[in-house]
Amino acid sequence: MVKDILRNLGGLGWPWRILVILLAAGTALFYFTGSPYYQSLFLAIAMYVVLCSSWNIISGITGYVSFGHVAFWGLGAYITAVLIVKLDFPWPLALLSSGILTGVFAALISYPILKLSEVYFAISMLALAETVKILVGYFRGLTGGGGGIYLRPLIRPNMAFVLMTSLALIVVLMTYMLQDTKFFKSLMAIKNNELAAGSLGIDTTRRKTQAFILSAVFPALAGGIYILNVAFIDPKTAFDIGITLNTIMMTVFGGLGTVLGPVIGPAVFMLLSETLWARFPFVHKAILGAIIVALVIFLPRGILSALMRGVERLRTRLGRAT
Amino acid sequence: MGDFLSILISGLIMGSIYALLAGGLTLIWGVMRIVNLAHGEFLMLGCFATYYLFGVLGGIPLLAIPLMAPLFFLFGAVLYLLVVRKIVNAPELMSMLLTFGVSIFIINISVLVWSGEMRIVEYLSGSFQVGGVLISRPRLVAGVVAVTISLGMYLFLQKTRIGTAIRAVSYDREIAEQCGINANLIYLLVFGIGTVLGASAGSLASTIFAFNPLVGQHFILKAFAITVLGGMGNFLGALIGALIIGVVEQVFAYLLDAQISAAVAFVVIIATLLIRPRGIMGER
Repeated sequence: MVKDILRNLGGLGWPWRILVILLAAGTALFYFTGSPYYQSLFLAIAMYVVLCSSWNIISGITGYVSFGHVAFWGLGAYITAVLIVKLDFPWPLALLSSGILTGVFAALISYPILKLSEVYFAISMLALAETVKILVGYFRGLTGGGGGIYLRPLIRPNMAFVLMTSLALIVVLMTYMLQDTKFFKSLMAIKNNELAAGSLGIDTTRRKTQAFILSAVFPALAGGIYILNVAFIDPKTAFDIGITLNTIMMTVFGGLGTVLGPVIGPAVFMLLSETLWARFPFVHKAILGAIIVALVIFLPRGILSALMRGVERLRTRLGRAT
Repeated sequence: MGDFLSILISGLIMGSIYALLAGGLTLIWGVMRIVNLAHGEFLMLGCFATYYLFGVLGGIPLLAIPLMAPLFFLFGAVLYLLVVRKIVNAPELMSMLLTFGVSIFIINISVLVWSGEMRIVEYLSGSFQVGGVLISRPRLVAGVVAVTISLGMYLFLQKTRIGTAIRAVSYDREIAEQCGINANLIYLLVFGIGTVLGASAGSLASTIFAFNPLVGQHFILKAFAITVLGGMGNFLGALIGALIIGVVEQVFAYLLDAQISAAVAFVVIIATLLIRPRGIMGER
C-alpha cells in the first residue's frame, strides 16, 4: 500500500503537482498574514475535509455506511488530552499516539463490527459512538467526566491551522494515490458485491479491516489537533452525533466515493452555513435543514456529478453550435 | 425481591413507551425502506401538543392522544406528500439525509417558538404500593396506555384488511400492486400512522419526563437501536426488543449507575447483532 502511494507520487500529473504546491504555498502565506477569523474558518473546513475523506474510504468506497464516525474524532481528542495532562507527553508525541491508539482501537472493534452489513452496521457504529461517549463520561478520574478536560494552550491558532490543512492535504492526496491500486479496486469490488469479490480471491475481511483502520486514524489526528487548538473538550462535544451527520451530508453532496467530493462538499457547505449564520442568526439552522431536504430531492448524486453533467451538456451544446 | 420486582415493572413500563416509538420507526422502515431520523421530532411535537391541550382543557392529559391523533396523521400525510414521497425505496443514505434535514428544520423552528426551556405535564404524582412493590402512578398509567396502543396496532396489522395490505406491500411491493393494492396510498397511510405512534409516545413521555424541543434526540438513538435489535421492519420484534432494553436499562441503573446503564443497553444491542446479525425476529 505504502509502496503504491510512493510510486504514484512520482507519477503525479503536473496539474496536481501545481495544485499541491499552490495550496501549500497558500497555507504558508496564510500562516503569517491571514486574519484569525479566516484561519479558523479554513481550519474548520480542513477538519471536515479530513472527516469526510476518511469517512468516504469506509463508507463511500467500501460501501459500509458508518453512523459513528465521530467516535474516532472524539477518541483522538480525548487520547491526546489525557496523554498530555496525565502523562506529560509533549504535544506532537501525544498527537501521533492518539492516531496510533485509535487505529488499534479500530482494529480491535473491526472484528465483530465488520461482520454486520447495511443498516445493521450503520446503527451499530452509532451505538458504538454512544457507548464510547458514555464510558468517557463515566471514568471521571481519567477523563474529567461530564465536566470535560482542559489543556493549557500549547499551540497558537495559526499553528493549528497549518497542521489541520496539511493533514487535509495528506488525506486527499493519499486517497488520490490509492485510487487505482489493487487495494481500492478490492474495496470497490466489496461495495458492488462482497460475496462475488470473495469468490474472485479477494481477502474481503482483511481489506475491509484495512479500510476501517485507515478511516479511523485520520479523524483521530484531526480530533487531536482540534483539542490542541481549543484546549477544552467534553463528551457532549467530542461525540456529538451532529458531527457524524454533517460529515455524511457534506460527503454525499460533494460526491460519494469520489476523491474531490469530500473536499468540495465541506467547502461549499461550511461557506454556505457561515453566510447563512451571518445573515440569519436565528433561523440559519432551520434554513440549512430545508436546504438539505432540497438537495436530497434535486441533487441526489452530489454537486460534483451535477457540475460534470452541466459541463457535459454545455459541451454538447457548444459542439452543436460550432 | 420487592426491589427486583419494582425494577422489573419500571423497566417494562419504560420499554412499553420505547416500543411505541420504535414501532412507528420499524413500520416506516419495513414498508417504505425509509430510515426516519425525524421520528424523535414527532415525539417532541407530541409532548408539546399534550402540554397545550392539557393546559387549555385541563383534566386528563392522556385524552390528548385521541384528540391529536387525526392532526398528527394529517401532519405525517402532508410531510409525506411534500418531501418523503421522493425517497421511498431510495438508498438508505438518501432517506437518512432527507429526514435528517427535516429533523433539523423542525427542531430549530420549535426552539424559536418554544425556546429551550424545560416543561413537564403534571399529572398523577406519587406512587403506591402493592405487596411491597413500589409503583409510580404516572408511569403505570403511561405504560398501560402504551401497551394497549402497541397491541392494538399489532392486531390491526395482523387481523384487518388494511393491515394485511400493509404487510403485503412491506413483503413485496410489485406483487402487492398486482393484487390490486394501491402501494402509494399504503405509504401515505403508514407514514401517517408512524407519525401518530411517535406523537403518542411523546404524549405519554411528557407526563413522566421534563422536555424541551431537543427531547427527540434523546429518544431517537435508543429507538433505532431497538428496531435494529428486533429486526428492522418487524413490528413484534420492536415490541420485544423495547421491553428487553427497558428492563436491562433499569436493572443496570440499579446495580451500577444510571449513566452507565445506557451504555449497557447499546452493548446488549451490538452483542445480540453478532449472534443474530438481522435482529431477534429478523429473517436469516
